[in-house]
Amino acid sequence: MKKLIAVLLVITMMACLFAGCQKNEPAAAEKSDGVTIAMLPKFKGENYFDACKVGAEAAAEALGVTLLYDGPSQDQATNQMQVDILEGWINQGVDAIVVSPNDGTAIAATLKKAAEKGIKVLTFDADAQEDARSYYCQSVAADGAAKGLLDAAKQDLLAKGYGPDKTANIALVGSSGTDANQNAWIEAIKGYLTTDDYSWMVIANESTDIIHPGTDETKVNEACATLIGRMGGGADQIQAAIALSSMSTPALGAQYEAAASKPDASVITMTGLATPNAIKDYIKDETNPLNTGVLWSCFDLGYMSVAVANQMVTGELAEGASSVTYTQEGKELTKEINEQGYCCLGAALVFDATNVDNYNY
Amino acid sequence: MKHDRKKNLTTEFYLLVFLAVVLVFLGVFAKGFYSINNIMSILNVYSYVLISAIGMNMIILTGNIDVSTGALISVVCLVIAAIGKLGATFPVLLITAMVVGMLLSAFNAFFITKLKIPAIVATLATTQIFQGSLTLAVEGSIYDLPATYTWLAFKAKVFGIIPFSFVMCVIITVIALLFMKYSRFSKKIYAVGNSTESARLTGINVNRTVFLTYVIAGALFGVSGVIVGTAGQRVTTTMGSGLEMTFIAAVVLGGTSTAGGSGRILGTVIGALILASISSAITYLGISTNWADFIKGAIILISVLVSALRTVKRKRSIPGKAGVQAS
Repeated sequence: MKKLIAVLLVITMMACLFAGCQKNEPAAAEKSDGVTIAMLPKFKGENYFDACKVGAEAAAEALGVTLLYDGPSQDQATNQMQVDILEGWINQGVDAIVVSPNDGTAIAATLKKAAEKGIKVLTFDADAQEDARSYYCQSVAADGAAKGLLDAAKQDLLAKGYGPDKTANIALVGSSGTDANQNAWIEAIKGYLTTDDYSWMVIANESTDIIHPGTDETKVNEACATLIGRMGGGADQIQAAIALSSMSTPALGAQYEAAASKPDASVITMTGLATPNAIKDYIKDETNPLNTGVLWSCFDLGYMSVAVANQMVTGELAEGASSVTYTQEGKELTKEINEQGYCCLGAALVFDATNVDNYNY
Repeated sequence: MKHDRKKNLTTEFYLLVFLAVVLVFLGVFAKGFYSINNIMSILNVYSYVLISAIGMNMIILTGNIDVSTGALISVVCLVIAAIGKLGATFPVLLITAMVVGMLLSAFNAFFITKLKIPAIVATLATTQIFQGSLTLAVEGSIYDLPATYTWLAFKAKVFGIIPFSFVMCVIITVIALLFMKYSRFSKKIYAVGNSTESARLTGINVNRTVFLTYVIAGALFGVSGVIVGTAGQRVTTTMGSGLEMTFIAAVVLGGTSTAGGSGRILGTVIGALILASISSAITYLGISTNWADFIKGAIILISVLVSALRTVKRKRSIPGKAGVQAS
């Protein structure tokens, strides 16, 4: 009896383990029945990618294609989980795959395998190894994101009395430390800090001031709470916190609210990448030093990715093109494609208390 | 008995000395560590670690274990987020969390007491069941939660400064200390942990004792779940992931024997404080937080080794009493 139950338990356990991978996988799409585009975010169930998904769905509907959307859950946002999902799609024989890789190098082999089977492969949001995909649907260039973030912080710091005569210490909050986008932004930010315009903004100690708390919500919260404790007006304190992920930016705002004795908001500032909805309460709260957020339109990014993928499947867009033209909500849009295959959506969007309510994602 | 009490005292004494040395060291070298803000945020972490560690301590004292606590807390967080989204206030969240914690922990206890599955196997399986049911129920997270939901973390400050979570922690700790010292039920817990057979022979209902212990612990896990879950406006399916190891570590560091039957709440109180301060402490020392887990592990390993060495010594000095450990 005991053994039987133990065996049953183990079976249940295995079933639960696999349940995560197998659900949401619709029956294999009929090959003849129109175009099927599969979209794989880094992880699902979070404002950012949910907003991309809405854009992708709108594009799929407008173009009359079938969209498959699946990804790992946040705690399992690993390359292996993404590969498992991709393998399923490759076997199903979808027409195009649009991926935001957690690890751009490790996923390359699987993407190449898909391409060999005649599947069009694109990346969106984050890039993979260049030879593993046709185009990269980029939100904003790394340089642009870095500048947007620094400008958002700079504007607030200048207003609070910092400047070339009074340096400000800044800290960066990333997530896993292996994310290609974040690493590119960090490098670009460091580059900007050496230029005259930003040289009064300083990363004092890279090992404690560039933080990678991982992708676990509780850990991110704790790391942000510790960081806020270190903020203040003093020369040995941090004056500006810049969050590089859509998890850490709201965490900064929340932990400031939660702080027992809040650092004086008139001498510090916080900003970061986030969807407007995730941080609008903090932005509108004048006592909270999280005054600006930086992003691009996730909806547009999702829309563009599916539109570009569809054009590749139908043959309208060949390999190595220098621009792409598609229609979104009745408007004809043309995006440049550079030599590395980056199809860039546009400039970063900086939002603050005056316009945060204009966005709904 | 007297001999054993002395041994327990020294475990806690060593820990206190270690803690004092660390705190003085931080005072000298980690500038800003003793800022009010940092102390309060450490106390918040300490609160949820200690509340759960007390529950875990009781379970371990019965000679069992629960490795599903992290997943259990994730479930609690998601459930309260779901009702918090509808505008439920803190008392409702707290009671719901405790009830959910008790139910899930009773589910664990059912496999352990009724079906006689070893605790580690049963809770390993339920970890997957809890975590698996979450990924089936929600896509990753519930977000944009209202201000009523984050009241505990954002607004609930006693005298405008002390987090209310810490007040809950102090109340629970005091009750637990008294309960484990004076209640008849606590004597049963120690007896079961020492030897189920002799406990049974003295007329103790072993299954009932273990079951109730799990249910009490479940309520405590629920309270921790509220503190962890209401820290921000978003709740993911992994809020509690890995926390069970911190709880077990606090218990072990506090001198409780993993074989059961020996150990006190006071040790856990100190052990939890050490573990809750590490991440923050090393940041203030100018070391990357990537070292935090490594240092935690090293501290636990050293403390277990020290206590194992002492046990070996003790066994050698009183051969007749080998293996017998009482409160």
